[in-house]
Amino acid sequence: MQGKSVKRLLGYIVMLLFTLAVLLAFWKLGSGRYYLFATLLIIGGMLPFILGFERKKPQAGEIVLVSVMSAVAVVARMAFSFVPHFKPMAGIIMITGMAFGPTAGFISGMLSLFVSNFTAGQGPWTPWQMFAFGMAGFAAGILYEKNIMNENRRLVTALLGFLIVVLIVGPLLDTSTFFLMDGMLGDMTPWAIYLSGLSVNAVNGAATAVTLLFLCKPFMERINRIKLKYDI
Amino acid sequence: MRQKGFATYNPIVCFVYFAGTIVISMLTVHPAAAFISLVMAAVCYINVHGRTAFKLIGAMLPIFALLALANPVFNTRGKTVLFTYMGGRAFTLEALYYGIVLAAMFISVIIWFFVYHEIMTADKLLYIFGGLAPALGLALSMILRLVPHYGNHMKSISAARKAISCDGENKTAETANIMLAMLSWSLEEGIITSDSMKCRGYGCGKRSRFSVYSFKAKDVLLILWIAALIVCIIMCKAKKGLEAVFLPNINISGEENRYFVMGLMAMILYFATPIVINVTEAVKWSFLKSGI
Repeated sequence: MQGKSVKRLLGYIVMLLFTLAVLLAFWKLGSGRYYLFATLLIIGGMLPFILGFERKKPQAGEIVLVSVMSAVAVVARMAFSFVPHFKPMAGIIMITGMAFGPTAGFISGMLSLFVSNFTAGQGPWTPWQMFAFGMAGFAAGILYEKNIMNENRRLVTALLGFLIVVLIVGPLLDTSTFFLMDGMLGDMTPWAIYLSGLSVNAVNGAATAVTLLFLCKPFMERINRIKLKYDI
Repeated sequence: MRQKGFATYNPIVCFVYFAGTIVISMLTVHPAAAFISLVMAAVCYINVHGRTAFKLIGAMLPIFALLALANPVFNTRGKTVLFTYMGGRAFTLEALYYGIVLAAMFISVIIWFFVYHEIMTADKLLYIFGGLAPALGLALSMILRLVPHYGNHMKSISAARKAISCDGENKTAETANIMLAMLSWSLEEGIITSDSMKCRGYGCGKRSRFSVYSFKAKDVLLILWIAALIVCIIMCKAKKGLEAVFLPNINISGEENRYFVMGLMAMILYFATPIVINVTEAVKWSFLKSGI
């Protein structure tokens, strides 16, 4: 117990020093460019989930199921690529969060985005996408635990999926665009970026809602059957 | 995939190099620095990717032009007015210059990411991060293996459904059906995998890792070289050698500032490192071949 708390304290100190070092470096050398600063903070935001997952010493089953669901999400994105504007990834990540809990949802969202970017293209936006989709899985997991999102309440679940994409995932990605475009389009307020991103986010949100509406129940049924069969 | 030149160095060294490249390119708002980063990125990409690289770099040109021209449209500050339009809105030289520099920075970062993509393959990233986060690294390596595996699953499910002619008219619904069959299959398979892992003792004791990479003398040399150049560039930045102000007046540090000259030289050397390594290796190889 003693060793554990010391380790945790050390972890906090390291994170604090990391943040301070980043702040100092940007204050001195940033030339008013905030993209990297913001990106480092986003990576810092992922760290608690990653450390939590590692510290828990996950069993073989947990790791395998997270990997399976992430791979399914990546394959689904490729399989449905013939339907224009339809990206089922966020929906499947949310189902993962609902079926296996918020942390598993976050990890699977993060990893599936990372892996799918090996084909879609890694870029300065990768950490933001990882965090945003991780958050989608996390939010769905929390809402499922509170019994708000549920495979039996299809319409509510689909609506909430839409809202998560439009209110959490989309704005996070727009923030990344804002920092990346910082200065390039003059003294533009972030609101202009958020407004222009709204249509894209609405399309992605609708795709997620459709995914949840039609796939959530059958997916959950199959996952629950496996859970029952193998007593997970 | 064959690996040669810069790609044969230890992945940690390559990763540090690319992190440094991208940070330097993103943070230095200076026309000369942005230009050098852009040219070096393009040359490096052509070097590692071959002829088809020209196509992608060509595709970047319209984006470059769009971004460069967008800045003066949105930004009217700046002293020298080139022309006015739409009832007196000014299009200024300073804003255009600033736009070109920002666009060059943006495009160079994108091209550096192409190069990164070419050299930092998934197994190298696993080597770097697998040690820091073992559970996450294991999950990542599993996903990388499962994605093509599930692609094959989907193909065989689709073939089986065609064979018993229950593939419907609607391609979307059919894909969803295949997805569901694939999900059940992959979950069952996953359970078998995890049982097998448990039986072989996963989770009891420290897990060892295998990797083909090791730290050789050349890796140590390269990382010292990279570190020295980064320290030099940071110092020149701190001494205001790589500063540039565009709006409303253009004020750029030039060759009269010795920290500018030093910083720029360090940048050229830094960005040219992989190209030099690759070209030297190619030349050496052709000499060896001609000796046979």
